[in-house]
Amino acid sequence: VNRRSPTAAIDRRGLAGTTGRRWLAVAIGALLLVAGCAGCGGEPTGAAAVVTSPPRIPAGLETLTGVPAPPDTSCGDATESLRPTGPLPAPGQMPAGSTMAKIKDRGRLIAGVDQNAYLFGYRDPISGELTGFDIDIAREIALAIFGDASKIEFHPMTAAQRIPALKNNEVDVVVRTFTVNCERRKEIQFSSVYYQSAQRVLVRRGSSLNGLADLGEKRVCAAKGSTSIQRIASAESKPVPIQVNAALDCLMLLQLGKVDAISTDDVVLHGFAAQDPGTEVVGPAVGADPYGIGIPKANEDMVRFVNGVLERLRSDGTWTAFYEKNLSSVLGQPPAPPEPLYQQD
Amino acid sequence: MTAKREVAVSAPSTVPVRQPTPVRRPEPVQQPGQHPVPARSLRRMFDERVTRLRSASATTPGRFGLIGVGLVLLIALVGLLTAVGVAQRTAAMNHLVGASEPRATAALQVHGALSDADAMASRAFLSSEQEPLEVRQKVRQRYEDAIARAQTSLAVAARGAADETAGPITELATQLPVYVGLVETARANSRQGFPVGAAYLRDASSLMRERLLPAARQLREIEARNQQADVDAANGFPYDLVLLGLVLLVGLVAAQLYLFRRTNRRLNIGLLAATGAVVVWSLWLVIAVSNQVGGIEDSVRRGSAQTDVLAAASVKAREAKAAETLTLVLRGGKPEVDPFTKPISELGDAGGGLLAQARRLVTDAPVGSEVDSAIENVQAWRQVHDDLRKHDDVGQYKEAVDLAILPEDRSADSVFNRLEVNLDQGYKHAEQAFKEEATAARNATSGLVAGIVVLTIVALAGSAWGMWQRFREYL
Repeated sequence: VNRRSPTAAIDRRGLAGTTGRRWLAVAIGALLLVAGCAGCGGEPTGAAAVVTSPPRIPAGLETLTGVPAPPDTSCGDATESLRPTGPLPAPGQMPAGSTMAKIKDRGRLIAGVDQNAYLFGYRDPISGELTGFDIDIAREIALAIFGDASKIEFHPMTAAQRIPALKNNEVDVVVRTFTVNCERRKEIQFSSVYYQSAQRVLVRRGSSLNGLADLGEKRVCAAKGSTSIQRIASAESKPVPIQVNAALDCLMLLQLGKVDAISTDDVVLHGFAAQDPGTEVVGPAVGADPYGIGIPKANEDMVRFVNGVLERLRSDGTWTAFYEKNLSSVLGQPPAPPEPLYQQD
Repeated sequence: MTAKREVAVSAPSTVPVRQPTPVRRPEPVQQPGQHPVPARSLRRMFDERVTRLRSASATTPGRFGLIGVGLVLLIALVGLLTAVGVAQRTAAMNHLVGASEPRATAALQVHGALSDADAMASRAFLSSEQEPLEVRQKVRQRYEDAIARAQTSLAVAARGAADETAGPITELATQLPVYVGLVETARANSRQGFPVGAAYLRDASSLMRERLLPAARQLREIEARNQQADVDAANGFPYDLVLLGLVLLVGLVAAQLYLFRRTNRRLNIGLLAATGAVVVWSLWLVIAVSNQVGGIEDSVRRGSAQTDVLAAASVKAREAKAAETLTLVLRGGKPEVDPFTKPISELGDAGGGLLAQARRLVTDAPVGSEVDSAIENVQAWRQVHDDLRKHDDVGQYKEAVDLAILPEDRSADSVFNRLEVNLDQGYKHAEQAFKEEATAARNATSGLVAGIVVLTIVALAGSAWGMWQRFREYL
């Protein structure tokens, strides 16, 4: 700090005696002040304090506290759907008065989808087109109704928007990594299971973590309101469940070192691993997540119709072709399509 | 003149001259070892002085002497106080123009640059096959420029800043690099087609909205307050200084009346000159300060009041742009609450919000026409926004993005750019007006301090000489 006050300058020159000097300095100081010497006066000259900014918590991140309620099993096997009624009607010739006939009259199928689920429903970064396994399945339903797979309107939505959209009849179907369970079946209908997903664990490559059992006290991330976060919260090893608004945020948090692992559907995890070679999917399946197509509760004819479409996809090899096209690059050879289960009529 | 002199010469005969001081108290004897002067003796010395003065004032030359000394002291005091008062105003003006105004402008620029960076960061994530490459490069360039502008303006705002701004400046200085890091990570991921890029962008944008922009707003408000304090300091009319000048004038006139009665001389050149000097400085003071006060008021009315609102409007426009773009980039479909709605309604139109406020404040026609165009462009933007939302809500993502960036005449981008130009032009005009008025206000009192000092010396010399002329006649 080299700034000197006018007093110091005069002291050095020794202009006057001890007392006179002080008065002179004050007088000169006052004169300087008077002469409008703004800006040439000294400023506070403390050394810069060491500043640490408060740690930043990414938006939407929170720790899930409390033990979640055990899964609802009141409906028995939630994956049992309604049996298709005979062979599918020919495209363009839907039974009069049916839900499908109304859709046909409207001219397009409205499907709720995801735009951000890598491999299942996402925008191709090059073409900008919606693509993925869910999207292909949804187009097949349009094809069965219209004979034209392009007569479809995609409504992108978040996980939390799925059930409200169905209950308000804003969409005809939701094809969006939608896990079938009893709780949801109280409010909507599900088709038969078209994809069997398993919850697994994604960690940084080279970490000694090999599954949920190793994650005691570790921060494990999943999407808010998902079945995954509930399994993390109720795991015996007692991990710290970290929930975020969108599963994709989990990958960012893992990359930023703010969580130790992500545990959710394997297809999502493989999608993450494909975006970050520094991560890997480890351990055995923590739980099973069967995906079904969501349909408004009242539209039983539509459920049976969609199940008929799925029957065809399984049997004519389309399902396997979709798997190979969308998923084989990260999940390997396609397994057999999941067997449909139907309720006793 | 000669007749008068004769009268004056005859005066000593009627009035006793050189009256000796009659009372002489015995000097107290200083005892050895009794070093400090005893209180009693001090008291005695004081009494002695008072008595001497009293007896001196009993005689005419003694009174002349006292009046002379009194006038000199009064002139010196009033001159000094007036010079100090004016210098303080000048200092406040200099501080306003030279320090607090640049800092307030820097704070505005930090806020504006940050909002610009956020709008451009998310804009860079929207792309269409038909979008020309140079447009994308321009967006990237504008993002980089905005970050650079924010950094340099932050450095200016931090220069000699008050303690109260330490909080927001620290927040900005520590979080801006974090923001830039998140945006770059988002970019690197998106270039490889990884959706996680969008997660980084969303996080960067929430960091901007939740911490950087509020800190910048806080900084702007503090600096605006400081600027206002300087305006207030320089803006009051100095009634006290004018009153002091009047008191001095009364004193001078009274002295001349007294001399006239005592000596029958009508004119005392010295005292007249002193009176003239005081009259001149008082008039100069009143005129210069009135000009200054008017100039400062004009600088606020034509300048800073409008730049504040227009800069805030620019920030809101960019916040709206960032919200609109981010919703598209995140591809979440129909948002429960469209984040575009809040900033665009705060930006407002003819009926309310910042633009209505700007319209009320308009003083100059060029600013007025820019504000009117801005209001039209906001209306056009709302319409395009509704259209593109209608597409995006039903999954027509490409159509929505194209509407956001492609058509040169009616894309959300082009309307936004026109709106920005309106606000920017209006801002520049008002800023120019501020500079003109503030400089004129500052210059209104230039030379006044020196003038007052010179005139004080003239008045001192005049009154001293004038009184000496009368006093001398008794010697």
